[in-house]
Amino acid sequence: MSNELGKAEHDLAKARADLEKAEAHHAEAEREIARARSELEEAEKEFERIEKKEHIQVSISTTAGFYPAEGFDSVPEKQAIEHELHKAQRELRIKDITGWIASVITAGGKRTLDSSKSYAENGLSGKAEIDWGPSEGGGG
Amino acid sequence: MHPAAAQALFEEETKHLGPALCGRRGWTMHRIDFPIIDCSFSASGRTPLRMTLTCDNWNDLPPSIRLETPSGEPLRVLPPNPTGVFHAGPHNLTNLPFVCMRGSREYHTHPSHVTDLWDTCRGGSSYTIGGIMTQIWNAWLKGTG
Repeated sequence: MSNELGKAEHDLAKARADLEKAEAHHAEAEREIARARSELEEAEKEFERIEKKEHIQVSISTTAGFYPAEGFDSVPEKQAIEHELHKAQRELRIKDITGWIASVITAGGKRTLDSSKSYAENGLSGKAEIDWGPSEGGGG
Repeated sequence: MHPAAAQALFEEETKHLGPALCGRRGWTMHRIDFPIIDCSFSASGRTPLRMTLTCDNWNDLPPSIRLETPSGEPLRVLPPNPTGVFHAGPHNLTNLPFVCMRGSREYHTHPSHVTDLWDTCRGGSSYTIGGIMTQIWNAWLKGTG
């Protein structure tokens, strides 16, 4: 009987020791998870910073309406301007854009853009209000 | 074109010529109700150009476009350094300077251009009311004075 009691006490002590070890592992694992979460959040913030840095806010105005209808679209600076113009054409249901020019109006006057090139190549960054419509007509 | 249909098309095509677009382009809309659009173009260092478009029978007919002084009087002499579409005239019907460009009624009724029919450009995206105004604006921006 005393042998059995001794064995039971021994097992209990072992079980307590195992439990303490498991709790220590659990605490360590939770710290690891917290560290990983923190690193992930940092990485996401850095990704957003890079993405924001390499994007431009764009609004296109035409006499058929604005694209987007309100505010600005965030698009990569390295994207060709015509990509957004085609979206505007579809959204605003403009049938034919032959002879249309995209431009920006600056303090120095109106500057025509090369829509086959990117915003960055056209010297645009940050925020761009692009005017789009037919160039001056022929005649005379 | 039935007058009601002309008015409906006019209103559809001019609904976006509002403060947001005008603010960006330096346009001042003095009046915009069928069949009249009275508008001025402004830009830094330039004398504003005012004009009235009369869009009766739109779009069977192109708009008649009267160039005006900033106060709204008919422009009898063109300002210096205009670009090609601004014709010193006098036009055979109005006896005034005029916009000599496809999409202007004065162009299509001028003896030199009566064979260039409005019907060949009518309905195109560059020949909506806003499209015609944009073409004139772009021509004006290329000039000086």
